[in-house]
Amino acid sequence: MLQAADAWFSYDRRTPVLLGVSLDVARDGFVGILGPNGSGKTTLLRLLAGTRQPQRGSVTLDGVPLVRFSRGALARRMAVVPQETQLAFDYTVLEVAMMGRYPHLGAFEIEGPADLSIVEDALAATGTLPFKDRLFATLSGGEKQRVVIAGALAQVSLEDFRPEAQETRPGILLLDEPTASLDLGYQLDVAALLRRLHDERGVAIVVSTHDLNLAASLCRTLVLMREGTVVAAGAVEDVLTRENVRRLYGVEADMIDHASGHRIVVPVRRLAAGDRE
Amino acid sequence: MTVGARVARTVTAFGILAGATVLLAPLVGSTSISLRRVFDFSIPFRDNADAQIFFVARLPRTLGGAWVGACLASAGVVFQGLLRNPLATPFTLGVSAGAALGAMLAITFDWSLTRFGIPAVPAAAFAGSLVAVAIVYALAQARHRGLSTSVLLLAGVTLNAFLSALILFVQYFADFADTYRTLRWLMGDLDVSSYQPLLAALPLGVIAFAAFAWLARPLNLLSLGPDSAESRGLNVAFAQRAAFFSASLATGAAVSVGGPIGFVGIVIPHLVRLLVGPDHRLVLPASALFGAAFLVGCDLLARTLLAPVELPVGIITALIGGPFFLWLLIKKR
Repeated sequence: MLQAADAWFSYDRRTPVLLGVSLDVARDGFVGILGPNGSGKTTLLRLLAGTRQPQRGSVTLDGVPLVRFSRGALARRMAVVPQETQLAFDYTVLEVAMMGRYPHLGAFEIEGPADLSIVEDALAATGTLPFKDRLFATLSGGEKQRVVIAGALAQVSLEDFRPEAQETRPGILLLDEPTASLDLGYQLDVAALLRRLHDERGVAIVVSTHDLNLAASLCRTLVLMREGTVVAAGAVEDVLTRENVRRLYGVEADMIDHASGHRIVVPVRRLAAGDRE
Repeated sequence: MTVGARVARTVTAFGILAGATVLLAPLVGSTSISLRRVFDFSIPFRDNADAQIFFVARLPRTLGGAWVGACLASAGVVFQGLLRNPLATPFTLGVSAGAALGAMLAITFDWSLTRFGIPAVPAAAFAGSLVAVAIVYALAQARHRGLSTSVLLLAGVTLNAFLSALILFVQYFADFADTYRTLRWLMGDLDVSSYQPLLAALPLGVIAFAAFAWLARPLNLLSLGPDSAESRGLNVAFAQRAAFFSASLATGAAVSVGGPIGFVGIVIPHLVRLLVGPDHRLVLPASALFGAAFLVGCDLLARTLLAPVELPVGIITALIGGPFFLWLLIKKR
């Protein structure tokens, strides 16, 4: 559904950040992007979201290049959740989530009852409806992240609630290290939320993360990136191997297949530079 | 309550406040007049002294105050939203310093040309503000997309300091009377004695306020940060440029009429946010109306406090605005 094909990108047109990255997000996809700092994960998410355009190669949605979509049309299909959200002014939770409805409204249009019910439904789905009137700034990190996810969900929701409508046009959430600044409890909250949105609402999800175990338990497919290229891609159990962890991070790790059915990565030690390949 | 109903209620409440202030302020002065006689249309206008004082002598100045107050307060809101910084003012980016230099040059070198019925000083002030805006914009335009807000701030602050130095330099060549006039201008003064400067500034205001109306929702999104705003479907680069130019236009138009009247552009937006919350669809119209009422009220004080001496209104806004702003800072803790 959402596809990057041999995408190249450079911010300053000299040092390339992505060197021919290809990636495929299926209709019911749950894709994890893993890689060390500076490997190009965030840039790849920007290309997938259409806020940056590849200088070579292409990014397409349902076979149509993203540049052919209007900003609004893209925003109605895909929403981005950044690592952290800081507001310049004291908006309430409801106001923040309501900003997700921006691409559905005309220039001078005011959100109507349908928008309100979509947003309240999204807040309920993320467990944040009880504090919809609180100030966003007063929430904890995990609560904030769930509110931002609610806004993203409202952004890709159609006013047409029928399951057929959602099926022909599933929304896509792109999350950039959504749990990086959260403690363990909130990490699990957000992970459970993402799994529910994927399983129950048919939302396709692309998530970049440093947390290998989270990625292993959540995602169906993984894309491993290093220095702007894809090192490996495929099903979790095929890709998340000792060799790949060593190539990616220069870390020796043990793999344990846990009773839960998920693979657990236990980092053992950092390897000297020469031992990595 | 829906946003639409809240907007309607807010505009009504602040509109009544602004309307009442504009209507009642001209009644007060050295000669007291009665509102009933002013609007008693059975008396011919040339025999109706009250109506003449109201419409000819006092209303232009009151409307001038309302206009300048509305422009400065709403430009303050837009600059704060654009820079994502609640401490920004309409003068942060050097617009007023450019206008001051223009006005100063016109006063010192006695430019007396009048074009399109606009006297030289306001015209030069407006031109000066445009030059400052162009310089800051050229500096802040990032190579790929959008405006860099940090460069905007730095360029504005530096330009302010540089232009202030130029003002002092020109001042050095001015004689005593010109220096006095310049100083009065810099204090901010609403000495509007005809409708002409207002009519000249009106088209600018219409453009700026039309842009503000569109900007209300984009400014809400911008407060999430440029990347998040972009991914919600906003053309961030376009919205930033629209905000920068429309707010600069409103500031330039206001400063050319009344000089750099301080504190309106920061106190009013903050007060309004305390009253109606941060949604720009409420904050922008409420600030424009409240700013109008506030400046007309301050000008009333300036005219009457030490009558028959008329204080520059900028002194009153600073005397009220300064302590009020400090109180806001402490209260937030």
